[in-house]
Amino acid sequence: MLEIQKVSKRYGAVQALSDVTFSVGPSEVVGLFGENGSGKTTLMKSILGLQSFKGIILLDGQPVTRSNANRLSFASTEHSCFPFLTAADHEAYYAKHFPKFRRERYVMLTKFFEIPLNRPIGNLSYGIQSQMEVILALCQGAEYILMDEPFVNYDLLNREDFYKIILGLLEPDETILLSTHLIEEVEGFINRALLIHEGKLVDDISTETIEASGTSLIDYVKKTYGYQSDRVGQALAEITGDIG
Amino acid sequence: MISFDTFHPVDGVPIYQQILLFIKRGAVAGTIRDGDELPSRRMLSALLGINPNTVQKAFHLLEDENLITSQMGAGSNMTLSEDKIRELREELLADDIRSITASLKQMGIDKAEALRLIERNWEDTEA
Repeated sequence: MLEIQKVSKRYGAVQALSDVTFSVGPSEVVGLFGENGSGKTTLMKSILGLQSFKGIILLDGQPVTRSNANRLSFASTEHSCFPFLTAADHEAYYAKHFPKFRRERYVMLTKFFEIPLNRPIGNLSYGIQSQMEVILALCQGAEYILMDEPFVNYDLLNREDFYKIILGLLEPDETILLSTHLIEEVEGFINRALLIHEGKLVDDISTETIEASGTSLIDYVKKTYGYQSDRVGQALAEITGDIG
Repeated sequence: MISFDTFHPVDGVPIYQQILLFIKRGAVAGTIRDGDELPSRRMLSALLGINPNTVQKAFHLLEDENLITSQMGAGSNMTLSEDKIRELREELLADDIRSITASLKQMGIDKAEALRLIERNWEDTEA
């Protein structure tokens, strides 16, 4: 269980997170949604111990420290791969540093996504580098796999393959926390949605509940954020003088 | 093994209901038969790219309606008797008729005209 209790973070005058509280258990696939600057990345970095924060974050009752941090993994678009190392080198490095490194899964994923094994990662396309990020996060052997907009450099079919492969690979003790703007795409993939707005957790709801209410995730999210669908028409009407 | 290659989910209807309907239609059409094996829950989740909970829910409903039996550790298989298939055909037919009737009424078409429309279409429509 990963527990986030009253977590707040301030950058100077900006309150990036305020009193965020929720917990995530094994085998959940949780979507984290919010506008740019709403605090998604700040929340993830707090969980990972990459920055200071106010409040409490516990992993099975223990604070996240060097001794249990390998139970968390992180894929982002910041390219944490070693640019001069090849995919094969990464495998050796991860196997050495993470006792629970999932080698079989790594071999399968690099093969499936046709990652060149013997070229330095830095020489490969952004798309492939992003795929490597996700593959490493999935193979580290972590139970809590955090992903921050991991699929931005992917093409559509690639993303679909990743969603499917992840669903097929996940063990019961693995949990995904995925921050993304691709709300419509991940609707079926996740089982729970966390909605962040201006640093506050404004909703925490299962997709089953959303579905039972007869609405789609994207419409639910838009409603929660007070999206005004008529604004586009109004703005265009002001320019074009078209009031019809 | 039951193939889901022709399963194409549409918007606005819960996926687990669509899985249920896919199986029922297959059973009525004869493409899914008694004893046929379903993919494992995990495999189906991956194939369709949908959360395992959703697949689980569909399987539960299929079990509740006695359309499948699941063995621990093994797979799930269809249980379809002649009677069951007849029941399903009636159920699906009733649903379809209900929705067609509803949309005809919504368009302000009266009963006589509706019957005329069906009559006219009957000959031209392929099975």
